[in-house]
Amino acid sequence: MKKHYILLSLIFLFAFSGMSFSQCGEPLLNICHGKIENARFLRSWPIQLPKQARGETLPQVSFKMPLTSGNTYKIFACNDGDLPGKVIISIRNQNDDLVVTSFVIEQARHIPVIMFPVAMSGIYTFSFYFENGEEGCAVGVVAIAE
Amino acid sequence: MKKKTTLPLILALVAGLIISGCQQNKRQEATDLLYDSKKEGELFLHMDMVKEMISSVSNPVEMSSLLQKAGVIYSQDLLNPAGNIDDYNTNFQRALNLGVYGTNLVYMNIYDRTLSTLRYLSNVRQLAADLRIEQFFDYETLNRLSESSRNIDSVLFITNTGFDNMSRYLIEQDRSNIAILISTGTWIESLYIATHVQTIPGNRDYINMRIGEQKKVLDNLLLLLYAYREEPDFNWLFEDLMDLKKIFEDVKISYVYAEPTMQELNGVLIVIDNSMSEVIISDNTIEKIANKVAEIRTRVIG
Repeated sequence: MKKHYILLSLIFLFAFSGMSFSQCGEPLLNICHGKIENARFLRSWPIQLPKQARGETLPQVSFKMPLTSGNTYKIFACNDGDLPGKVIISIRNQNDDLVVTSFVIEQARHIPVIMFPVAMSGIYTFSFYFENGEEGCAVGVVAIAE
Repeated sequence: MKKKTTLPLILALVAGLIISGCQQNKRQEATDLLYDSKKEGELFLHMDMVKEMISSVSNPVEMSSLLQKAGVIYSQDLLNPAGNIDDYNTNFQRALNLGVYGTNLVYMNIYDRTLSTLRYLSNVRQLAADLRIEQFFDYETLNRLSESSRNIDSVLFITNTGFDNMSRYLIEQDRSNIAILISTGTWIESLYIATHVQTIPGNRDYINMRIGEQKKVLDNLLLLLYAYREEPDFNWLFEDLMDLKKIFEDVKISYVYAEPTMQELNGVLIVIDNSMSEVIISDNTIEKIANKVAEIRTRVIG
């Protein structure tokens, strides 16, 4: 009987650990979908990063995406409120020049939405990391404004 | 006594599941071994690199939206006929054509041909099932939403996120080769449609420039395919795309970078892009690209 309890507990443990992980991806994107408004969804990236360890570099993740001249892109992210990290987006062009970041350093303030009317077509790099290297979960979204 | 009744019940359930599984999968098993193509000791791309690079392949929503914006008329003749699905017997063909049919589906949706999408949706579902990745599409919802053109954005959202999740899953499961083939199929089909649509000369120039910009995308795609170039089937695809790259060498793209300026309005940061890019592409180069991509696509769709 005792064995059954242990087995059941393990099943629940696995089931719930899976649920907490999955909340970081699809459900968060579905919530974030509402922010697209009158733009057309193009791409999303789930971001899940650990807390920065002492002496280690800041955990971050990058993705490349082509942006086309003449199009306006709506770029934003949504954070999972259960974790402390607030995501910062930075966008670089193909020459690695920083175009924009979603964090205003002087005011320690996050920008909720970036509108980017592109004049220089190319493959841009979208990097995501969390403020102060906190552990975090977020989803980054790129849509095309109509 | 209890054990005696439980065992036959379990056996009956297992048998039932096996039989129903067999009935659902009436399509022919793949004749290649693409799933097992990762061999010990061989050099393959790192998962993080594939994840970073694969999104550099243009999204079909963008190309179709661009064509619609440029006043291009919808043409069903440009799509891969839905009936071709029966000829795709290898995982290589199935992965490429999942990208092709996915692009067709997006193209049809952007042009409000929602009712005609059902067969293409079914093909996407079937090819995804053949590749054991059907769990990423909510077909029932897509079918229901496809009944009205008012739901286009939701359909595109579900389709796009389905393809994105599928790609991530494949990469994490060490099946990057399949993910790369799907993206390659998507890219080839988008470029084929863009090079073969009918439009007025003024709009043609705009579309041609967008085609020229695919030079950079092709470079990234070839970097991804390079790791698999020695594998059966991948070799002809890689070589054909290398030939296409040679044609793209005639496209000249210049960039002038100037620091952007920012303007904040109601919590929205607007980037004023002071940089610019210029694409120089001749009609002759466009024709060569169109012919070559048509040739590659014919090999892809069969």
